[in-house]
Amino acid sequence: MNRFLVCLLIVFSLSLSARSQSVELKGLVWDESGLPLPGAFVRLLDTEYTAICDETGSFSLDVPVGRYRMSVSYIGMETHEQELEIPVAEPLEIRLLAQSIDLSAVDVVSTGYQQIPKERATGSFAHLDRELVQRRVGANVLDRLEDVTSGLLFNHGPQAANDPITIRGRSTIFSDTQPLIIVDNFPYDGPMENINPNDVASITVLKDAAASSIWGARAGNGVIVITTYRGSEDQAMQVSLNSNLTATEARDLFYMPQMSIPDFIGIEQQLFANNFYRALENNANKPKLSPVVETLIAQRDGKITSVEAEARLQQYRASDIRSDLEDHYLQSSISQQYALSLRGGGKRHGYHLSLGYDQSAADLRDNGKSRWTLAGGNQWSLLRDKLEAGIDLNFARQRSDTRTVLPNGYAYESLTDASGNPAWVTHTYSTRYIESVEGKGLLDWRYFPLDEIGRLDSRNEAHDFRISPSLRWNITPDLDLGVYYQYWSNLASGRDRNSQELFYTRDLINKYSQTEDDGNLSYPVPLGDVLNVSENKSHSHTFRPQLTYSKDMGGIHFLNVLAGAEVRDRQGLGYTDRFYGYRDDMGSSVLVDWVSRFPMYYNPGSQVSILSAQSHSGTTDRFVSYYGNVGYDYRHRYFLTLSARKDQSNIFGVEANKRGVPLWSMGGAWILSEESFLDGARMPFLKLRATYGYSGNVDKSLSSDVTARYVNFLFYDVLPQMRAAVLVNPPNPDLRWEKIRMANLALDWETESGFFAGSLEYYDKQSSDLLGEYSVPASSGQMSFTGNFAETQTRGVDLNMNVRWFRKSIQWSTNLLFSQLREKVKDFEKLPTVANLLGTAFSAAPQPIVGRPLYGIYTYEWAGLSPDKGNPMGYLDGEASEDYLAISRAATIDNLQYHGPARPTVFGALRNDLSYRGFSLSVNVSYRFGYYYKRRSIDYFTLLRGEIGHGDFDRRWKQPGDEEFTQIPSLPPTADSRRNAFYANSGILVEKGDHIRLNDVRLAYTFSQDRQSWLPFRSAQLYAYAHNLGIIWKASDDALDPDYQTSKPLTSASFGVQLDF
Amino acid sequence: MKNIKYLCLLLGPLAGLFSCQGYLDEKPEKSILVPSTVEDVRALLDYYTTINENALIDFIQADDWVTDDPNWQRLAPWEQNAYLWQEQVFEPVERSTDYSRLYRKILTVNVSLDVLQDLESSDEVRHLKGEALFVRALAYFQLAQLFLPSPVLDDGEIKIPVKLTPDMNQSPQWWTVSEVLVQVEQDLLDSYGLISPGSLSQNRPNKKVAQAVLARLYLYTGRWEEALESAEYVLDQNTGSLLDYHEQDSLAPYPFALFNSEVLYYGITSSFSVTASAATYVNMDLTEKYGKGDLRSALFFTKGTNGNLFKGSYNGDYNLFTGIALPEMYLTGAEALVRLGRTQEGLSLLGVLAGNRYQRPEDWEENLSKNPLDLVLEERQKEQVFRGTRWMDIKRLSAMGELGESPIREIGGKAYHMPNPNRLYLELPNIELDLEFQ
Repeated sequence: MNRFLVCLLIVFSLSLSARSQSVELKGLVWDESGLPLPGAFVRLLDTEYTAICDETGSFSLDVPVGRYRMSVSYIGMETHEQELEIPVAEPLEIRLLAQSIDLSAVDVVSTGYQQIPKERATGSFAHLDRELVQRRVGANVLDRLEDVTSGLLFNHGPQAANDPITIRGRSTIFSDTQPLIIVDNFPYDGPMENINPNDVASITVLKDAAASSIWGARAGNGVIVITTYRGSEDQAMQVSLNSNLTATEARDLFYMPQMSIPDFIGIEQQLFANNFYRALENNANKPKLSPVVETLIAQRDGKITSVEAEARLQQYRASDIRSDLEDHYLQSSISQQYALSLRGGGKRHGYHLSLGYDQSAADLRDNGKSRWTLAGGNQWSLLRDKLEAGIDLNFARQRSDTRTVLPNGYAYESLTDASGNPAWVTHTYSTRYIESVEGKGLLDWRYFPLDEIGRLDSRNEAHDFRISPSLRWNITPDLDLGVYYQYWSNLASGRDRNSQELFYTRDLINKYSQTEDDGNLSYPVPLGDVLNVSENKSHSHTFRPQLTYSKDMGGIHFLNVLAGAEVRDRQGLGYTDRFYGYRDDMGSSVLVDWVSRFPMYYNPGSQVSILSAQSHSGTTDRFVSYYGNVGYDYRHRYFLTLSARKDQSNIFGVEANKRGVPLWSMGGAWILSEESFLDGARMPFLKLRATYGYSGNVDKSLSSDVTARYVNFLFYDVLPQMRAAVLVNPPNPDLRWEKIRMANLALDWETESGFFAGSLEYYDKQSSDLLGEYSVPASSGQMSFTGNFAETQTRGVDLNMNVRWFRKSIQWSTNLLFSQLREKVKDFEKLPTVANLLGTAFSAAPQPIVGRPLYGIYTYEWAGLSPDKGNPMGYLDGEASEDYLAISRAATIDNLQYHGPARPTVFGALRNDLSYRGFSLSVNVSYRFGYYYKRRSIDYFTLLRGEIGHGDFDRRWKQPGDEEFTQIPSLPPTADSRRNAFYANSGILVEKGDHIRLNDVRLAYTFSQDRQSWLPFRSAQLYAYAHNLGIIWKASDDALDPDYQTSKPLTSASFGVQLDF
Repeated sequence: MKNIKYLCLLLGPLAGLFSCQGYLDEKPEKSILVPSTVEDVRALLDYYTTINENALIDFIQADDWVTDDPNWQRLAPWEQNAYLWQEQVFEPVERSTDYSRLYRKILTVNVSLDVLQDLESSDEVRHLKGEALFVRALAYFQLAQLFLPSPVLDDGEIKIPVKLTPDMNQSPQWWTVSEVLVQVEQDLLDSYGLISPGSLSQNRPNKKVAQAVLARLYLYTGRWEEALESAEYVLDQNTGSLLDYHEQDSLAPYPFALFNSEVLYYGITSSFSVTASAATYVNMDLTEKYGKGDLRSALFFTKGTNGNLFKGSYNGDYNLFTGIALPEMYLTGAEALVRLGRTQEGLSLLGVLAGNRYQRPEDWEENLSKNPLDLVLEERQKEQVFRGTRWMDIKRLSAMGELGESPIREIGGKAYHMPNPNRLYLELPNIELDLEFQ
């Protein structure tokens, strides 16, 4: 009779003859840090008894009573051997020591559907184990991937907000650009901030089609799989506590160079002399004018003497609002993190529980946020291991409070008066007007920013909850059925009370005030606070039945088949509302008239209804998917995988047969080191693998039918009560899903004792049917149109190398990540316009041109400054020219200067880890090469319309001869938009982005019972971590950081302790 | 193995359950819709912030207003060019909001007509179809006034793109002004036949409004009898709706109410830099034409720093009213009558309007000594000031050689003359031509 052992995800079996005196041998295999080692190979030497550990690291064997020699091995670990007398009283606990610190080699990678020992994978996975995840300090889990993950790029440029992370270059142009994020086997719908990084055991990034095609249509941008801690059976309780404190410097308001204030005041005086402000001065809306202009008006009108005026100007010349803002508003921000976790297991039972609290004070006074997370779970083995049941619960509560906002003011305004009291600062209306209505019974219409510090009452809260029960039934030793389910819900609410003390509320009440016939004021916007509320409820159900079949055929053929279906339904419902005349002490508000239009107090010609701020939203996201995966393994030497998935979703207005997209992939691997011809090569591990397949992407906002959207009218519209709809999408019967085809070829190696290990991957990614937006003639009724129309190709190399220099008492290892990619557009139906190309630098729209990357830097070629006037010059028919209109008319895609890609094409990091006794030091240096950016410079057009300009003004051309040492144009006599547009889009402003950055340093000391036996706990680590330590080298002379053009990357320092009991 | 079969039997239907049509038919967003019902079309045509918003360029080019150097400096470059009647108004890569908005209205109409075609005919479907045709006609009429020469001067060379279906992939036809205006007339006549006689809200057209625009069209094309007929149709239905200017408060910052009794169809032209500016002065030559006892002078104008500012908008604020109001029909009728030689009838029709505009009958009667056509044109200019019709009048009058002195504008010490009648149209934005013929 045969007995079978089933290990959770990699199923192994072996047959042996039953013997009456067999007893069960059970045990657990861990690594040094106490993490279970699924897939570890247990063998009784000189017998046929073998077992593989399941995902909790446990194994069991039925063996006859007797003496044995046992060996436990795991790739990347020192093989453990021991003598054994069976029966043994207690379950064995075996701790394997790392053979090498090549972390990637010891991993079990998770696809979210199954866990595969990395050595048997055919696809491209980047794996971060606990140590790498915990290396960085901070509240956000995705940040932990930065500069330690091969092929993954965090974007910092102007596109970063829409597209923060790209894996192996960008696939999509306009669809959702974010990778799919899987948390504990299910796509995660909530905000990433709700995941506590301290709960994360590992992160796997799926980079090629074979790895990600199992996720189908949402995997086109790559997949990030996050696995959190689990308890394991028969494991003593482990308790660990992590606590740290991070200080981050305050933002730097002086980072962007600004022209000198006396120069700016000079410009304002000149503009005033040219009557530039006259129209604004007399404008019926009483718009604000700067204090300098008001001073000049008062002087002109004889209200103050020229001596007084000059005294005021002198005072303005000497002040700078940025210093006041830094003094009164900004501080270093402090964040704290506490995490307590507990895990262990009894007989046929495992559990884990963790609690986390994060709190941070912003760099702006009185603002901050906090987060509580609670995670717990249990797993049971029932019915003699026939049934495995588990349940996980996760709860997160986030809260952010805003009590202060950074005020805006003119560059030289002061926040305090001469005696240090809060000063009146210009806001919205001219100071002349505010003074003229004093004593008319209105609320104080002046704005004192310093009085408003800490007075806002705005709070956003979110409660996030997940429950995921699972059942696995081992139907036969080869076959099991798993049923997995997850319910997720998120309730986000906002409450923003603007008290009547605030200028915002006083202004609102004042401007709607009506003077009645008897001269008294009436208040359509009632006295009291203005309260905004919003609520957004979302929830999702995911249900997944899955069959797994594993068969070992005589220890030669191994088959692993997985098939399942997944149904997902995510719904969201939200609203916003607003109350007027709110009294917090009474909890009551007053009804207002939202339909009538009221003449504004400051300008009766402007008639506006009261903003209702009511809005509603509702979303439904549905997927039905089928998937399957076949893995075949011959003698653990040759591997073949096949994977397929079909997704259908509720894309709007698409014929049923176009809703779905079948995607597939295949892969093969060959462990060369298993071959006898490599026996003498002293290369214990050498593997070649290749994959090919498809993944996809969908943009649910598009439709093949014409679509419209119901809109709420705004308060300044004349018929606010009307229900109306606006066209959003013209019909597009040809709409298709985006498809990404990727081929991946890789070599993994590891030399003896893990001295030199790594992987080198080459990939070719073809993205077709990409959705893109292109300009269309306005006669179509649209300015632009989004449809499938482009094809791109990305070819690249990812190299991940690890060298372990010393491994004695001093341990030193170096990890190098190197990625190089070449992205180009292969086909594009509509060419971008010249305006599109020039605009790319500061905006996020990719502009595809065949043969070039999606993001490129294009400019007008620069011909220097004209020697007589310091005007910028370009080329017109090959001659230097100042005829900007003609230059822009003559500009074509071909004659614009193409500098190069706007995103790094070579990037990576070099990390050195050193340890000696309890000390460890890790230094990570990252680099980015092969890209360009446009730097900002003086904008004379806006300067001559009264806005302060860039610091380049000080270095401008002033007189003939200056063109020898400056390329910054002269101040033109009048605002000339064409001259300005030419300069802003000229090649002289392009800089090379290449740089090397000292990313972070981590220093730690670990006390452990091995060394310090007096220690009351297993180990304790004290650590210090510093991040954003500055640029080591950069190609450009530009003073600013190439990746941070508008604000400084803030340096932070953290200190913490990690205790393991 | 039996177990497997059993399992497949169990799993199969389970998975099948969710693939049933209804589950994936759910809309991804509540507020989004595929327009398919009467209510949807009603909502599309009620999107008045696009449907009822008119072009700004024709106002900029018309001689209702002037501005000074500092204010001109503040205008957007295309506004500066339009003010000086430059041939190329738009920068080479610049798109025109006016141009795009007019075609956006046309797309909305074409989509609406497509939806209505599939609906069972009812009064409401017919009314909506009439409204849609009206909106399209008005949009093409405005495009013709901006981008095409006067129909009298049509040389068959100057064309604009025309689309009468919503299909994005279909290229437009290119039509001359004569062809466009034939379509405009047909759409208006069809609209008149279908549309409801009255409307609940003044942002929606009705039979009178359709006739009023027909009257405009006939005046523009010199078809006086038809212009008269259409104007009379409107006037017959609106007796006694004229505002008596004696009763308006000239001290009020903005004397006229939004949706007052003279407003037939709401329309707006709004721009912060032009219509809301304190340096958008009423043309001085024009203000001088308001004679003694003309109530409009005090109701329309207010003193600014360097000239008169306009406060007489029928929107009741600084946004220009560029919809259709009743007085225009008196003026159109009177002009048609005078041109048809029925001078006395014309002057007495004009007299009805004048009775509500002049302080005393004598103040009006003094004017009757003038040449009747000159009088009716002068009254038209004075009544329709800042209402967005002047550019159309300039085009038709100059084509007939009746404009008199050609307007001149001065900026930076340099004088700019309005171009010849056969050059009174804008070139299509460069980028649009590039995109059309890419």
